[in-house]
Amino acid sequence: MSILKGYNSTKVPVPLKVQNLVIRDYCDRNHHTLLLPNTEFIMPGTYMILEDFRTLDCDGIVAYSMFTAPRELWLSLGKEVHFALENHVLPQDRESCDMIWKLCAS
Amino acid sequence: MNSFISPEETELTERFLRDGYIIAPAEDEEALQYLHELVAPTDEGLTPQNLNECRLQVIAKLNDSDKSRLAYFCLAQNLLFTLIGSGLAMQKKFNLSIQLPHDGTSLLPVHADSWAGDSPYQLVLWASFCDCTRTKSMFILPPSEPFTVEGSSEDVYQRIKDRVKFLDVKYGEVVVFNPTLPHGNRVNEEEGTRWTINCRFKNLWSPYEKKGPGTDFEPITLRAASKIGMSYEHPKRI
Repeated sequence: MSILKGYNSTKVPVPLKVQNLVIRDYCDRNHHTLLLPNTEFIMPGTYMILEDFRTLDCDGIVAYSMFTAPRELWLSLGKEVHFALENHVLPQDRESCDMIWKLCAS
Repeated sequence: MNSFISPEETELTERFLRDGYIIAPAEDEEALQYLHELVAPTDEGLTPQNLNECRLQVIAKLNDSDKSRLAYFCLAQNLLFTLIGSGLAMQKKFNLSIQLPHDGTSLLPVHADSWAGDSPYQLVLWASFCDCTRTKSMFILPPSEPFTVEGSSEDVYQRIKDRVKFLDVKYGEVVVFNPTLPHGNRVNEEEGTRWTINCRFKNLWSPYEKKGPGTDFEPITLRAASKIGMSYEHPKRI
């Protein structure tokens, strides 16, 4: 069981309340403690909230989806990242995540 | 362009556009007292560890009360009518901020509400249940000051910290501010705990962006012309 900081985003066309339901459900099913999600800003190319997470004191992050931020940014955080929608965790599921990112990029 | 706004409202409007906020006495003493009793601000027994639980309990009391939103609106009804218009929508839930002295665990880093998908047409009504000054208050960057959003929120704040304004607000006063301006709070280095609530108001018919009617807002002053327009249908041919 981990303490995970929630991360949702206004950059995806899914209401924040729905994103939060997905995040909360993921944490409940996997017995993680959820710290209230912060919302990423809407401006293209800006990931200020995720940058703030670099210095966060918690076991990891739980994001609504792996597509709420660029792959390179997720990998650079140096933290465990849970993707609630896809049910994958970095770095443990790196290979599966890379496959998904490649499939969606083509 | 001709403006039919009165000189008093014009002055208020220009001041708001220039500064990004207005501090004014609460318009309804009874409403303020009602909210004060609901919130019941106290330092007793409050620690960084139990702070969030306390916050959630008070928010639940505020949001469960069927009179609290009306009372809150009454704190600044005329000001909101002047700055936004008289057909209003109000955020469905209150936000409550409790900041213990020297506690960095419940900070709100610099941000603008519109960056998170809020409508740029909304204003925030901020009410304090104590005197707020310097780091016991919120800060806002005046409209005339430029800024950039590179890096983390702390990077953004460090670039603007010499130009932000911490608002001096006495208990009994309210603030209406423009949330498209960078604002937030810092660690409270003053005496006493800050207890403030905030809620957003917008023109009913202005764009909602990501926070729509139903999910986040509901109408509070629906005027006759709007009621007529919403239910109007052209006559049908027989």
